[in-house]
Formats: sequence, structure tokens, C-alpha cells
Amino acid sequence: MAVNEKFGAIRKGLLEFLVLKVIAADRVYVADMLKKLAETEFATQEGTLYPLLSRMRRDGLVDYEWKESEAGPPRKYYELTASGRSQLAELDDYWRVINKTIEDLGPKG
Amino acid sequence: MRTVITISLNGNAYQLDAGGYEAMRAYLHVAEQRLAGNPDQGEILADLEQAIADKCRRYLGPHKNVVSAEEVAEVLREMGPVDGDAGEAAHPGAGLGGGLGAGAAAGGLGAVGGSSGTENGVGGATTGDPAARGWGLGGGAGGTDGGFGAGVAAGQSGAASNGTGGLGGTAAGGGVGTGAGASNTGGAAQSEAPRRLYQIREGAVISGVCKGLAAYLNIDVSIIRILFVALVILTGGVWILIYIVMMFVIPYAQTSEQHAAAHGWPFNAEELVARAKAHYAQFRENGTKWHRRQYREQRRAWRTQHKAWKEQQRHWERWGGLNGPPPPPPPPPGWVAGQPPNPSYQGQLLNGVISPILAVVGVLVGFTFLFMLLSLVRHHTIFGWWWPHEIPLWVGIVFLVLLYRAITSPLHQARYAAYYGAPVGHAWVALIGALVWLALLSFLAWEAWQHWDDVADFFQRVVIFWQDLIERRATSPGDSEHAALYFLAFGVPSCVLPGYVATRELKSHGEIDRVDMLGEAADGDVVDAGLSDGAYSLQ
Repeated sequence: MAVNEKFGAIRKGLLEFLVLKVIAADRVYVADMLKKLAETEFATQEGTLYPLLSRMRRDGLVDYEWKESEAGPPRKYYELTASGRSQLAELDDYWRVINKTIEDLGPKG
Repeated sequence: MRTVITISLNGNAYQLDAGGYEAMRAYLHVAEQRLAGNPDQGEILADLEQAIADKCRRYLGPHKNVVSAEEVAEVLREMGPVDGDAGEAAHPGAGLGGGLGAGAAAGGLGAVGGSSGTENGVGGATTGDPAARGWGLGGGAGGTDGGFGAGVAAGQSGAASNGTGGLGGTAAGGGVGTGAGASNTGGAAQSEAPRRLYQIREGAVISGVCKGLAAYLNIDVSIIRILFVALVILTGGVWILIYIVMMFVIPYAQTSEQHAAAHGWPFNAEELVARAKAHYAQFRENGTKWHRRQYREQRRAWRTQHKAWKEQQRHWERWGGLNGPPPPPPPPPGWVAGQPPNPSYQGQLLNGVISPILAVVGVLVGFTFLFMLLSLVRHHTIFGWWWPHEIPLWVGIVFLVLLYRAITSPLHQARYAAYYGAPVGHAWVALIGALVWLALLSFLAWEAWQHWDDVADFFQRVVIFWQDLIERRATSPGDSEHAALYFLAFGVPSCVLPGYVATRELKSHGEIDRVDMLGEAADGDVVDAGLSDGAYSLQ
């Protein structure tokens, strides 16, 4: 089993965290998000992102507003809500803890 | 030459070739299924459609306005499988399936030969080029797996479980994203087209009950008709009542989709195209008035579509603005199957209220008409007014039939307009027509009241006639043929009647809606019955 495959579930689980991070950085619409994620290991597709965003919105983590674009139809621009920001902070802390654990365990190089 | 199908994605018109259409339909269908139960289903689907539309636009230019099957497959590959379990799977630890790069064959969408599958179409299980990639219906069934278990899904979905499907699965699971492997166009998904009982007007003898039933049971219509006649004779006429009840209860197949459902045909592009072709062949064979009229209707429908497209183009120009507008969606290529617009919800509601009233009124008018006709044939009088001797009687009959048609057509238009909700102007015209018509009806009712004896006489005669008929059958079995003939006389195609032909001529030149023409049989029987009655009594 390739490493790539092994960590699929982890990447999948982390996607929400990543999306929160991307949205926190800037107000973005879906194509922006996909572009940003495409450069990382977390490259994803519309088929995944739209349902995820819809759930995050239902959970009150993100919200969107319609903005007219210069070309094409109006777009949904996403931003974090207050609870989205606090969750992101929590996840950030947690991620640091996990990172530390991983570094601390095992043979010291 | 390739067949092109125009679709609307979140309000934008796009043309796809037939293979691409099937793939996209399958993709959206699976998406819809996977999102079933998601409170945001509609919104997500709209977003997905919009995203697909954006991607499709990439492939279009001034000299290219059709998205090919390969391009559709590519777009759908980019879209990725729709994650129906985003709610759960996104939580850490839940998504046990495969990698994110699950790829094209993921999500249970069996790979249909994107390139070669174009020609294969839908008909049945066709094995595509092993190297082909794409989306197809095949995986519809396989789409139940949770989350990202892409490889598994692809393996299952291929009814082509000859190992190659599994291979495709592994490849997909590995994030390679090419659904290599034998493909299956999912004949199963096709053969399961729902079958519903409708009345079919086209080619109906009376109202289309038999025709609908024949389509529903997949039996030759003649057998059903003979059976019905036999039942009428055996039940001593009671079956006619049952028939009438069925006539009112069973809905008419009005849209192409309903027609397909009536026959249990799969309603999809390939079928539509095939049937349109067959229809065209028929059209060429006997270019009757009826067919020419059909053609005009199609043209009218096409014009409407074209207008919608023009509007869309304006829309594009508006959004286009500064950075050079994106290419407007291509004009619709023509119209495959003329069909009324889908009824809006309000239309159906309104119809629920108005339709029964109009139906009752329609029946009353039918009876009044029948009474007048009988009265004319038997006593040479209409509501006490003597038909002049110097004018032949058939002129009177033609006149009555014409009058009846003229009176009932606004009613039918009103029903139609109420059902489809639009266009509004049309509905108002129809409503006014119906009002005028109601006034006329009240007048007739008043007249009938004035001549109550005649009315009573008429009903008595009908009863006596039926008794007579049944008795005759009972006393001399050999005469049952006569009864059967009589029953068939109900259905003597209305075109035999001179009045009807005249009306038809009139209609083919006039602006009267199609539904009037086809939506008349219910009352038409009464007409036939009346005439047959007359003919019978004259013998």
C-alpha cells in the first residue's frame, strides 16, 4: 500500500480544517479554494467540496454571500463565522499538539 | 454525424453530443441520489451544475458550440465524485475509503467508454474500449458505498465483473484516476423505466383508455378492444359505465415523458431521437394534415426555445461587461419532440380547483349538445325551433358540431392553461372565452328548462334504447354481432362525420391549440353516440 493511499483517510479528515484555513486567509469562492488546495497534498474536487461546504455552513462554521463577478454569473464568496474562527483556533492548537506528539515519539534524530 | 442535445445547467443552455449527455445525466443522477436526505440537496446540485457549466464553457468558442463526449468526461473527471457523506466522512477518522485522488472511476460511476462509448449509446450492455475513460450509468447501482471507497465501487459497479472492472477499481483507488477496464453501459438501469397507466389520445378510438391499457400491459391494442367489447356485451352495458369512469380517472399522457412512461420506454435521449426518427419517417410516408400540423407545433416550440436563448444571450452580455464577454451559449439546434412545458406547481394547484368545475360543465354541455342533436335528427327541431325543410338536415348537424367545437374549445384551453400555469395572456383569453361560454351555457340551460318535456323525453329514449339493445342481445344471441358493431360505432373515427372533417379543416388553418384537437374525445364520444343513435333509429 502506497504511503499516499495510507494517508488518504487522514487527508480526508483534515480537509475541513484546511478549508477553514483557506477561508480564514481570504474571502474566497469555490474555484479559488480548489486552486489553492490543488497546489497541496489536499487537492480536491467540486464533487467533494460543495457538499462539505454545505455541511460546514449548516454547522455554522462558514457563511457565504453572493457577489457579482466581472465575467460569468454571480459567485458565492465564503467567509468564516465567529464559531468557525474559534473552531479553527481550536483545531490549530490541537494540530500543534499532534505535531509535537509525533516529533516527541520515536527515536530522536 | 452526431446527435446533439441541448441541456440547461443551472439556467444556462449547453449543447452536448449524445454520449456526453448520457454521461452528464448519469453523473447528476448519482449526485442527486447521493445527496438524498441532505437538506441542501437542491443548492448543492445547483452549485455543481454551475461548476460543470463553467468548465464546459472552456471548451466552447465562436466556431465550436457543442461539448463532445470526451470533453464532458473530462469535465466530470475534474468534478470528481459527489461526496454524499460529507456530513460524516469529513470528520476525522470517518473516511476510511480511499485516497482523495480517487479519480475518475470513483464513486461508483462505472467507466463508460468516453470516446468509443459515444456511438455505443444506451441500448444495452456494450463493452467499451478497455482504454476508454468516462462516466456512465453503469455505476448507478454501485453508488451506495460510503464515502471514498472508490476502488471498491468501481469494481462492484461493473456488471463487467470479469476482473477488469476490479482492475479499474484498484487503479482508481490508487489515486491514478483512470477508470480503465471493461465498461458496462448499465442495461439494468435502462430496463427499469417506470411504467404508468395513462390514456393515450393519439390513435384512440374513444378516449384512449384501451390504448393506454394496451401500452401498460404491453398487449396489442386490438386485443384489449375486443376484450372491452366482449365485456360490454357480457355485462349488458355496465362495462360502458366502467369505461367512462376510467376515462375520467386515468390521466392523459401529455408530455413525451408521460408517453414514455405509458409504454414503459426509458425516457432518455437515445430513445427520443430514435422515436423522433421513426416519427419523421412516418411523416415522410404520409404527409397528412395531421403530421404537418405536428410539424408546425414543433416549429412553434422551437421558436419559443429560441426566444429563451436570445434572452440568455442578453444575460451573458450583461454579465460579460468589461473583460470581454464569455461566449454566449449556442442557439438551440432545433426541436426534437414537441411537448408542452412541464406544469408548474401553482398551475397544478389551480388546475386542481378549476379542472373539476370545467369538467362538470363540459359534461353538461356535452349532454346539451347531444340533446340538441337528437332533437334535430328525430324531430327536426332545436329547442322548439323547427329546422327549415329546404335546408338539408346534415347542414344542421354540421352546424351543431361546429357550434359545439367552438363552444368547448375555450373550455379546453382554460383547462390547459390552468394546468400549465402559463402563459398568462393565454390563460386570460381562455378564461374570458370560458366566461362567454358559461353565459351561453346558462342560456341553453334556461332554454332546456323551458322545454323540459323534450329533455325528459330524451333521457327516456336513451334508457329505452339501451334496454332495447340489451334485450335484443338476450333474445337472439346471433344479434350480438349487431351490438358489437353498435359499440364500435361509438368509436367510428370522428373523421367519418362530415362536421368533424370541416372542423378539422378549420382548425388546421386557425390558431386553435393542439389540446383542443386531441383533448376532445371525452366529449367526442357523446357526439358519436348521438349520431349513431340517430343512424340506428333511422334504420
